Amino acid sequence: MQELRAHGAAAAMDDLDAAWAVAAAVCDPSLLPVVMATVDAALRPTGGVAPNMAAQVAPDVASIDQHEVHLQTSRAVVAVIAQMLVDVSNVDHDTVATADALLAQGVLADLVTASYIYEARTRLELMSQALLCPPVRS
Amino acid sequence: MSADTPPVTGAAARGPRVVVDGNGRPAGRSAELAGALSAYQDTVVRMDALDAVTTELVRRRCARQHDCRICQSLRLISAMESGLDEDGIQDVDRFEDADFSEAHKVALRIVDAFIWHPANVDPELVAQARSHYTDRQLAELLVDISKWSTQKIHVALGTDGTDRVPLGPDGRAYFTFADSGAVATMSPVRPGSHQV
Repeated sequence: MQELRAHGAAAAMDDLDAAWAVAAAVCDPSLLPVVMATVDAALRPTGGVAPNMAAQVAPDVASIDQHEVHLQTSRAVVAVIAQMLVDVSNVDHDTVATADALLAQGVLADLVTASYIYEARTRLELMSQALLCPPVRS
Repeated sequence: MSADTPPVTGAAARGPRVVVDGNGRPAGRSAELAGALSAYQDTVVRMDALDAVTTELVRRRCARQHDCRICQSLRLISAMESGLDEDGIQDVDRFEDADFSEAHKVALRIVDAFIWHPANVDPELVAQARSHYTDRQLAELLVDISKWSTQKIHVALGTDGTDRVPLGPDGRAYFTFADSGAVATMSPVRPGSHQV
């Protein structure tokens, strides 16, 4: 996002980077990559790589039961993020409530916030490349 | 929903989808993370390459596209003082046919591209953008859209209700920003108007 930095938005980009760093520190490190992959798959021109739930293994999973819980949680979080990305006005109550019930209080809100920050960075990158990087200024 | 279709949802019936605290915000969330995102928003508000009317039109388009109830109820006083009236605010939904300047229409097209197809921006829109705005203004426009779009967090969680907004009889609240970029005042009465 050098284009934004070069045209007066350096301080804003610094703050957005700082917010992302806080998100990375606050959120579950096993769920954040799933969130990022979901955003990339929805927004990137190549489609990115959709999160492979079957391949998601939490770093400290010690049992099959824990693994199943992690998969269930990942799926529930992805369902919320995917709806939020496509059309937030039509996110449905049950999808959010299901994910919230699987997580400790406040965790889903932090993941949704982290997802938005990553989404904003991605949209800003794509749009600034389109609008601020044409080869010749008319 | 397409970019041309105003959101029509069950927003009026939307309630919090997570446990909320006394301020109507998600309980248990990280104050550090919320604060870091607020700092970003304040920094964006302090940018000054765009005029207040453009900022308010962009804010309104984001609010309508994302169906944020709080944001739809708000009016930026500095934009109204610069000549934007309520008809203009309402016209944002049908901006292509409205009596807006071409520059404002281009700004609103950029909002829609940002929200609906950021990876596939029409080259014609790129040309329009670069003929009506400087690079600095375009950079501000983009971060402005991302700032207003933080509303998506609250819309998704159902915490975008207007319960704590001081709405007037017209269902609106009028607000200003401080030099810091934070909201300075929010009133149910538009300054200069006479309350009956």
